Amino acid sequence: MPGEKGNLQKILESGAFSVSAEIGPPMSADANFVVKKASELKGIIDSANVTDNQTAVVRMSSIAASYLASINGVEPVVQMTCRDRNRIAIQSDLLGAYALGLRNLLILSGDHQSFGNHPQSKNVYDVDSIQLLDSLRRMKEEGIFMGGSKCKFPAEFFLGATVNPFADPEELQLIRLRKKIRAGAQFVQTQAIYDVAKFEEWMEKVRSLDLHKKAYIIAGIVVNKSLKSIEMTQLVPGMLVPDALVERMRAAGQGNYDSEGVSIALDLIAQLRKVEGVSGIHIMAIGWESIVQTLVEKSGFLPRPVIE
Amino acid sequence: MIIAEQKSIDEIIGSLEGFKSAVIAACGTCVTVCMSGGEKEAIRLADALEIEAKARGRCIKTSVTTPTRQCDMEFLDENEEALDSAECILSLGCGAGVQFLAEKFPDKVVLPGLNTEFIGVNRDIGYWTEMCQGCGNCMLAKTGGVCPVARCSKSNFNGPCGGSSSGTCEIDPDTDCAWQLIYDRMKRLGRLDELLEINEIRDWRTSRDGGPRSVVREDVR
Amino acid sequence: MNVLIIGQNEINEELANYLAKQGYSSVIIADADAIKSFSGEAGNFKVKTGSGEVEVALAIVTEPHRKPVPDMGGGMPSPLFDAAAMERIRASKTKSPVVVLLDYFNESPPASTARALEEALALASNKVNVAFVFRFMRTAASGCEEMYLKARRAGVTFIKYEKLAVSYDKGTGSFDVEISDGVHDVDLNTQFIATDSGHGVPDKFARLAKKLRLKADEAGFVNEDRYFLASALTGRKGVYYLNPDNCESWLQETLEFIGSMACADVNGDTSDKNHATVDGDKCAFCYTCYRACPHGAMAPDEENRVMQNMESACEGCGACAAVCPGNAIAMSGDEFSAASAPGKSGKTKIFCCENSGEIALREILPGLGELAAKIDCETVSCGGRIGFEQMSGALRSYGKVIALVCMDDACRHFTGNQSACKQATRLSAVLEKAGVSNKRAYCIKTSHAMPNAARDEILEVLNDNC
Repeated sequence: MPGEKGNLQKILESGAFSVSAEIGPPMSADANFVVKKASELKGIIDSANVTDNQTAVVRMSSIAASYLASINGVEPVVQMTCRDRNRIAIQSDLLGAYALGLRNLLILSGDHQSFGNHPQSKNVYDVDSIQLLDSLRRMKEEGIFMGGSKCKFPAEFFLGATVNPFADPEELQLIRLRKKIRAGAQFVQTQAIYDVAKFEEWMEKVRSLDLHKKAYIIAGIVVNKSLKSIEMTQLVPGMLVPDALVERMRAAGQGNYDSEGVSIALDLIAQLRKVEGVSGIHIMAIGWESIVQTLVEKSGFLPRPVIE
Repeated sequence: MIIAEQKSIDEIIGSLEGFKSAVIAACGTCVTVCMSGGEKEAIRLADALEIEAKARGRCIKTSVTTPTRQCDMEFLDENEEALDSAECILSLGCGAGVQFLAEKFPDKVVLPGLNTEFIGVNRDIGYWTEMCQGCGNCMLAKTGGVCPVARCSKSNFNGPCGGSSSGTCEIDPDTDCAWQLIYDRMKRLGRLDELLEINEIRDWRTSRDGGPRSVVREDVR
Repeated sequence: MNVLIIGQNEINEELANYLAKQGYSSVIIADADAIKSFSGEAGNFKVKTGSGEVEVALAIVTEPHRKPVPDMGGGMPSPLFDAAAMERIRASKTKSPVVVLLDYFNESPPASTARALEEALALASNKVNVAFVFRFMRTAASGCEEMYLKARRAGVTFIKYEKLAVSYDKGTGSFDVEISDGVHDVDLNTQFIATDSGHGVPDKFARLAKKLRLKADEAGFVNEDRYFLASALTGRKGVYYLNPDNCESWLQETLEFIGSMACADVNGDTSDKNHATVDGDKCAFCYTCYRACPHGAMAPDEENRVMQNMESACEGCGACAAVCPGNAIAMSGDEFSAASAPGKSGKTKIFCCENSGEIALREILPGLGELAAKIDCETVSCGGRIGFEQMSGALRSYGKVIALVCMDDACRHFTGNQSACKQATRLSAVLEKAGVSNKRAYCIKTSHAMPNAARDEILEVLNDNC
């Protein structure tokens, strides 16, 4: 129904703790790939982010894959980067997405194309992520396109943004978060969190600015399946992985890395849900979607609430 | 100024296929200063072309002439005789110079010897960096004198992307994150609050996106 | 005559007194940052400060050159030569090695070297495990070589490095020292690092050197340690450097030396000397020569918007002429002979610099026997004068071309030797791309005192027939 809110928004507005995961579209036109992922997640999460050509590698479009997920029982969060489309294409695609019944939208800058499989391409960046949020909020509130003309039947997405609590300089990142929320972000997903103490310090600042009351803060976590994967994560700029966690993984020993990875993730979820101002958890189980059910179950998140 | 780099000898000699003589037109302004198309480089290119041509069993007679600026017709006129003394012109000017030479000599092939790179500054001998994209709507007043259009890989108007790390850009650890520079400047100037303002979507008509541009100043015509 | 003393140093007053006795009046600017600009040449420098302009004949820099405390990742190193520190180390009976660090980009000063060796030797004799970590050590000073051998025999491990990183762990109170020589990496954990203050250059000094246009190496040091520069010389006539590290014991001698140099720098006859001339019509006023000149001899002529050469400051090296992108600079009495001389295709042309190159070649030629007949030599003021076009021009007549230049750190004009090598490399690349043998253009660095290695290289070039 036009204007009707999506599941994620309803859950968050009800005050319930949201649980979400990810679906990475295939590097092909294979619809079954998405159907299979959706079937693994159906009923155990409130929504799944469907990435938009992540790391600038060409994949099935986020909107098409989102639609496939939605008709297979998983509410998608469409992702839209500013890298590949100008304002004409972005608005056109989003009108289409909304018409297909998709309700959640996460806005990102997008990884630079030099990382992907088309480094020769020209990028767009006609609008940046904050400008896009601002424009989509205005489309919703004022019924106008970016160019100023009226839109009779605007797309009214539940708008989201991302934030990295550990990126530097912190002061500038907070300025940027405030701008994103003012521009129109209704929910904010964080970069993967491993260091809960540091995150707690950051949330203190978020709370002091009342930002958690202006947008739902959703804490992201990554589940690691191997020692190598957590070690690699530690090397990623802007990722803060305490040595103790890497040690804990190592101590588990070969053959137990996957179960220790799950145990670490469960501990993180347990700690993060207690942090004041955190409204939900977002599980990034890259290439290991089948584990999401275990995590959600063991964290006592099931059954997921149904809000009418 | 305009920063340019010389094309490879391979490409240049390839474009000279079929010609027995060429005038190498240096340019005495920007590309002299950025050491890509001044008289010295033109002489060196002439030497290199001679070596290359000989190796390919060809003979290309070259000469060098240096208009003060290829982007002003009077300087081309001054050098007309020298410029017209061979079968074709190999211009070591920026893209503007090549095209102006082509306008001046409608019956002559004019070839580019440089790749025109960007508007930039001279940081040290042999080191230039991009500073301006000529977007036609300068916003430096809002960003502490550091241009996010030219110096941010994503031309972000409202702060760094998630790829900024330790002050460097995600595409290359040797490239400064423009927004880190903006932040540092604004902080130093005590104007950080101004960064809270949302810079609204840009009107790109002033840039190349509005089609080829020209400036007409009736008051000075 | 006015002498400007620049920098924050306790010896300034003593220096001023000495100068007064010699009949000079001194102007002291203790805060190096107060200098806004410094222009002109020996005998007639103009110095602008925030409060006005002053004219001086000479300038002596006394601003310290080296950072007082090295970056030890938050930990405090023990100063070298500190008896208390030595005692603490001995008392600790530490099993991990004690690191004696000598961190100089150029040759370490003799006094520091000697005392570091002395200390390492003393520790090793007390059965302490010692790692002697250094970047560039000079053992030529008296007694050092012997002490070095003794230390080795006593079990001191010597490690030369290119990269060094030190982090300090507060918890364990120990330093983690990561050393790399470019090939191997070594990690040391130690409770004690003993070092002196030879680490990097303070920003203030670097800014001053830039304003005075004193050539500095990659690490920012003005090249006081180069063997062609007597201590106190900077490469710019009329500007001298009193290194506080050395001047305690040498003050008197150094000052006398400066006095004698000053006379020559201000009053020397430069009329028949090779120097640069700028063609104002071609000059793009781009400042490339101004930046490149190792002797601060190029100055802008604001009125005519062209660069000009200050003849008395010019050392005639031709670095400006080689680098000028507008081809606007010529050297008076330019050395290069006409490029084309037919019938020499079997011969090799050697451009040698008048510093190491020419002296070495004179030694080398007699030993080449008949092969010497296959060489034509041309002496140029400096390797920095040899451009791509000179080398490629020579190849029009000659089979091969060689630039014979100084070793690094021996070029009187700082980087002329490296410039020659770059031109040879560029020419080789063009030759290679053209599919011609790239074995036609060479750059060989030689010491004037030990030319044998260069002789072997030249022989190899001459005997290579492809």
